[in-house]
Amino acid sequence: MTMNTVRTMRSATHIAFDPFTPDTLLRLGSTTVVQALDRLVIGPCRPDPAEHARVRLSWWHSTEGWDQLYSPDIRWEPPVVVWVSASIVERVNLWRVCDWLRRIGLAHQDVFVLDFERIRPRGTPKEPLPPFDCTSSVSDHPDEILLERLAAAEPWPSARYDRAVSLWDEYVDPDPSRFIQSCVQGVEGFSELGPLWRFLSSLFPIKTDEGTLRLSRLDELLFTILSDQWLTPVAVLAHKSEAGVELRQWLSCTGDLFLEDRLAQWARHGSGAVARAAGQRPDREMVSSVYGLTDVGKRFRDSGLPQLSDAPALPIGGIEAYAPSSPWVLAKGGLVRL
Amino acid sequence: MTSRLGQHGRSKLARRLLAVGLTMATGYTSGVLTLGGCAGASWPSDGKLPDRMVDKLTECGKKGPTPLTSVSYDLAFMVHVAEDEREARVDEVTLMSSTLHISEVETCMADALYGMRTPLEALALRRRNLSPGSPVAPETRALLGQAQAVQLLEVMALIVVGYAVYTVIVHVLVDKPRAKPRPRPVTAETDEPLQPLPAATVVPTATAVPIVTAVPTVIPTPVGKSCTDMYVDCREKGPPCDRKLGGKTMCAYCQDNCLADEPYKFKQCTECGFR
Repeated sequence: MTMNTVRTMRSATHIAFDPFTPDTLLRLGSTTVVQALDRLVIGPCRPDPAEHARVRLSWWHSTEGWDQLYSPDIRWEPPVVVWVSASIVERVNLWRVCDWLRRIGLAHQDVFVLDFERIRPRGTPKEPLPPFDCTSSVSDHPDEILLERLAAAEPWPSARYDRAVSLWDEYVDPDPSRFIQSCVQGVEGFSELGPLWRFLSSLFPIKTDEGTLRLSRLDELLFTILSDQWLTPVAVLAHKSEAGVELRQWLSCTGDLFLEDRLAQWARHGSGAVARAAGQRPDREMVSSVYGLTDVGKRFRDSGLPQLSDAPALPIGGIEAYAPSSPWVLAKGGLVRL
Repeated sequence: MTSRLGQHGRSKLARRLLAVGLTMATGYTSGVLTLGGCAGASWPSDGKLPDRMVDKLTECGKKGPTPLTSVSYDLAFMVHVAEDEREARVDEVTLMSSTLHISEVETCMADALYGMRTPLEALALRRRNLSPGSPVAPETRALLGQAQAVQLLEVMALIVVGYAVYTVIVHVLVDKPRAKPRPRPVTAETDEPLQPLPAATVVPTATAVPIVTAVPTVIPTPVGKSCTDMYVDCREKGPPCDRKLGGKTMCAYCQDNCLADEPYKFKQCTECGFR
């Protein structure tokens, strides 16, 4: 480690997007690490940071500060080093960070984004890997690599930094047209857009060529696993079936806690597709309730939705899936208004 | 600094299993042979390191990083106590695993443990406990190199320095010059046809390569459990296993590692049902 690297490691403000990388950075000598842990690929996002922070806490039913990015305790002094893996969860967070640092007046020359490619598992995965990466971590890489990258770090060119800020702006926009265009056409330097779109598109209802409105792929999987038998969300997640395997791939991005939220949203919804009853462990999340599929739910699964409002809305970035007010559905041409 | 947190986690597991293996093979359990009653001696008792030792380790911890947020490090040491007819002494302290990677602190802690002196009273007590009617058959003792090694105890200390928490695990073993091995029966004592021994009942023999071969015999692998089964087990355990980290529980992070067949990044995964 050169003296410059040591100095940068100690003096810089570091940003990390997973729970493991902060430990690695502290071990390597950093003294200030900001954790930005939120999984922004699911749930609402807003352009205004204060409003964004508020809706995120509400989305996760939490008062816990997983995400320190907007913390008033942080003194944002340059240089800022952003450590980001290939996980699409982290990439969206990277756009947010670029936007935030610009808002607080940091010049792009003072921000060093250190990109880390995905490391393929050395062993044999127990289940097929998803077509998107939501589990990579900077800490997957050896310390030497981290230090090498830090030693060679340079600020992004202004245009690239601008594009990151723009992507956040597009992602939180109530009109997703620009963002969809970026995903479909691609943006130089942001290869995450393809796999990200692959993931996001699973969250929107589908309009078939015949005009039938079908459940989103994620909801279809839930409705395939649910049955007449009561199941806890944990049992749904652990379901030993092809649907279970695919569901776990999507949940690697959303986090397991989202599963119970989605089931609860369905149970609360007036359509009556999903029934809920008290589980045996009222004190434990994901086992405190059990869920089952009603005849209505089976019809939705097999024949499609009569109308968009028959499903609970699901916020994603600046828009909502299934919301009659923003009726975006997946069709042959991509995401289109119904 | 080539070792990584996750790799250490697995390595630590293997080594801890070794320790458990030794413990099981010798018929001991930690705590049964805690060496209490050695007042004044710098020696573990009641499953804990003595205060003076904890103080020394804390001083070592102060030489480490001063993080601004909570961060934990795990260190495991093997303390070998050599014994002959006249005396006993700590003759070797080995750092088995560490997630710290700061040699200054690690060496400092090893030196502190090396300072555990005068275990003669302790060993005398051990002899009193073991000699008559000891359930420990000599052939069930594990071997380390040319010495017969018996794990006396395993102790843990939590060292808190600011936001840094060091979990220090110490395995204390007594090495004895190897005695002439007692021949083991090679035939079954029943009329039943010989069957391969179940893995869990295989005991180390005098010719066995000790450490590595001993480990698989005691790994409590939950046969047939999938990663998702272990996720369910993990969620069953509740706190702290279901700790939330940005929309995802620690169990789910452990499951990700398990599914990808990669080392667990949270050291607690194994304590929460993952193997």
